[in-house]
Amino acid sequence: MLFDSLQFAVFFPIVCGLFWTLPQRFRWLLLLVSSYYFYMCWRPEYALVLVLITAIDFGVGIALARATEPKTRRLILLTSLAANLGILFFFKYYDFAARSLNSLTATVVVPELAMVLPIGLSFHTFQSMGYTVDVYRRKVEPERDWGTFATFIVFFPQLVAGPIERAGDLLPQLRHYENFDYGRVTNGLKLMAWGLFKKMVIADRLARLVDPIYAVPESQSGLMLALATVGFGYQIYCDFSGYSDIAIGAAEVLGVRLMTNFRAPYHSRSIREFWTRWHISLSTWFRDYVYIPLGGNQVSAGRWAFNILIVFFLSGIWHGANWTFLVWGLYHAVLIIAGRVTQGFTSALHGFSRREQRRRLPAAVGIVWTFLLVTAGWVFFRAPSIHVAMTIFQRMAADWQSFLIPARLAGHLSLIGWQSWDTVVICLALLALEIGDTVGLRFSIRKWLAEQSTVVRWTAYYLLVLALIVGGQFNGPPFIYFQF
Amino acid sequence: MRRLFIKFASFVPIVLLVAAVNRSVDPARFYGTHFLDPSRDQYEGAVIDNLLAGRSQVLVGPYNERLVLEAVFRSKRPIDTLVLGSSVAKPINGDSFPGENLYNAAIYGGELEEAAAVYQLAWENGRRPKRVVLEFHGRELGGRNWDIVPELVPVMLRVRKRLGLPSDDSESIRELFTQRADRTMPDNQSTAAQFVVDQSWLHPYDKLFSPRYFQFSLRSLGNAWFDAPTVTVGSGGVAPQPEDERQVLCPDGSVLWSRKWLSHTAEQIRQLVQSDAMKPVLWNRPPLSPSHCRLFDAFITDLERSGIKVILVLVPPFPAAFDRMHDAYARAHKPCPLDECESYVRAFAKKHSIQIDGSLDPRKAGVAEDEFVDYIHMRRDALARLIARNNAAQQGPN
Repeated sequence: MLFDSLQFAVFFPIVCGLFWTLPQRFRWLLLLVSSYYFYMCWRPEYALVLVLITAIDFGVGIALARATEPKTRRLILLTSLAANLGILFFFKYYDFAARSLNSLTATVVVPELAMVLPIGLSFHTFQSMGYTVDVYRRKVEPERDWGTFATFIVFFPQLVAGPIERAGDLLPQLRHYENFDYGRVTNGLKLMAWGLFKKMVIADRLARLVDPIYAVPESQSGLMLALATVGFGYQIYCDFSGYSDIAIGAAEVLGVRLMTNFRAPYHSRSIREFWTRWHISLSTWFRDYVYIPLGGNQVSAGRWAFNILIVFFLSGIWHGANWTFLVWGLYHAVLIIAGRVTQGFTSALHGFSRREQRRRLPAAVGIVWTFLLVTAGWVFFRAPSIHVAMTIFQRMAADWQSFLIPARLAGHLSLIGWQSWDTVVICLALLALEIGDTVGLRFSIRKWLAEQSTVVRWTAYYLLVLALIVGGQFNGPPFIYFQF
Repeated sequence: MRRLFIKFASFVPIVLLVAAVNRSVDPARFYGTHFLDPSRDQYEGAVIDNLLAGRSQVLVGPYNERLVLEAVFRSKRPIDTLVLGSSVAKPINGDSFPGENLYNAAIYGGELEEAAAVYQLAWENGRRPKRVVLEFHGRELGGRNWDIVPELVPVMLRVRKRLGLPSDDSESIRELFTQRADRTMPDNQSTAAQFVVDQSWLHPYDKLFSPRYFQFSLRSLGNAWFDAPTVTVGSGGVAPQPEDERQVLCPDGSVLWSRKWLSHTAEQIRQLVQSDAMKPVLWNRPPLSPSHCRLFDAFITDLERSGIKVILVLVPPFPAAFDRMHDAYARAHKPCPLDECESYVRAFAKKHSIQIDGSLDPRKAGVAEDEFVDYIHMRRDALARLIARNNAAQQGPN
């Protein structure tokens, strides 16, 4: 079920209504059943994967609590990791590995299974693995109530595309649900509306620009490809952060607080900072469960660089079974390592600017430079193969001049069905997004809005709803991160 | 909780605004009004008024035939014999079936799909004629020769459903429609077409609250305000035809050909047939299509089950056109689709004891060159003679 579907618009109010009217002791059951229904709307048979993950990690948690021997505990943990990663490998990476091996040997060594990837598998396996590792580290108590644990794995707002929650944060909230709170519910609804705005008005409209250009990159001009790549940068941001906002908002309506997943990532001044603001739940997961165990930054420079490479290699491959994601991950690793190497230079630049009282200039340069680097990386993320990505880079450097004539550019855009109305809508929507991101870094807009007069508040609500109705794409593509 | 409901209720004006705009602008014309293009309805309205009052109507351009047919079927006019088919059948009139109330519901550019859809419209309006005359000119059972008639697409989907035809056949209709929309319709019509095809069980009332339809309404409104107005005499906003090309729609639905068509001589038509302009129409015809044959079988069987007498009228093309077509297929060592179509129809008719008038072979049908106004359309009196001649000759089922 998609958050921007009519089906969800019916499902969610029903679940909320029942949730608030049911006694505390039955709420877990409602959430569990509705979460499974939410998931099974896609492919009912794949709910068995969720059942399997739940059963394994619930059992592992209990077993870890009972075991005292470090060796036994390690063995139990390894069983959980092997099971989770095995499921992930089977569905997500087996065909990729088989294809790569077969093409390497030029014969069919292992057959491809052409399995359909269970939606959001990477998200819930990582959440589940995080739980077992935390139990192993004795950071959290094992969950002894299977209903609560099952709800922790399948909680529908964050089931298919995160945020990847920590057991220590989410489990206690699922043991005791909060009662109806008007302020919290409306806060959640506002966030959901904002998320829908990002997804339907910006991301889905940009998809109409990006998809046709990326479908035949070899016949596009440099400017068109550059436009599509920048467009994709905003598309994926609004698509994913929009999803996260809806997920966090929906959970908030139900009285559950989820972690922030995005904090204006395109306002970052370095790639390192970018990764503290982009897909925060995943980057902190890798930080806590991979990077720090590897030694983090408390090691030699060489070993640190190796750790970064490992983390981003895993992050890349987490996104998808394709060489393009791998290159995308390694590209970011190289940028972070390069950032540390050139740290002296950038510090000097900041120092210079401080002396000159022009601190804003390097910050702006840093933001633009980071944006350009991140955007270039999206080419690998979006292209179907490395070869196509390289073709895009090659073509991006050519044929700009003739397209700098506005009428000609407008003509080429109209050929792919992009009208001047789309340009107007997207410019206004991106302006609203940038204002929202800039202001949102300083204070909570929702809190500020709640303190305003009725006229101001309702004007804002009406504007947001009308923007959705007038500018939203109601038959847009599904969320990009569903495929991961 | 109550506060929350009040808050939600405060958004009702937006929902009402959407419904009001969709209802009043209605660019796909679901609700019978058309805020942006009133002249279209006025034209069809005039045609309907004249037909129902028993007056003839000079056709100044194409019109929405579905609107007119629906009005006729909804009226109290008795219909014993219903004529279905393409423009070839348009001249068939009451003189061929004396003593019966005939209505000619043939459609310009219509093929088998349109014929079945028109009958469906009649059926949905409670019409059960005693007799259905179905005209054939040889292209009905192969792939389509002409573009699908967009106004009838929803009805085509309904008739397929009623006849229990496979859903693949309905998909092919959707595809044909989309192809036509992409190729020939301006942007607005193409978008309207998508809404027409998208039929949920609430159709068309689901469109009233549809944000997508709201966006389309706003865009249409914007176009109307900022674009230059178009001439909208006939359906699709085309300019009026010259006077000598105008046809006359008779009260029984039959048509009197235009002066220009009637002035065509056999020699002129022969030259036309020899020119390349006829190539796409007469040659490269596809063989029998399974989906069309399925529709034909199911449609005729349904009529028979309803106790309706079916008469199939096979109208031949201009003799020189027939010869040229035959030669072309013979040279390519392929069977001529006209022969295939006639064989199929005759075999079916024999099995079901259905009367057949005429033949797709002009010699067998006994028609002369001067009985045509162009390479496929016969003169009114000639077509009446064809039906009468065969009626007399056959004296019963084929």
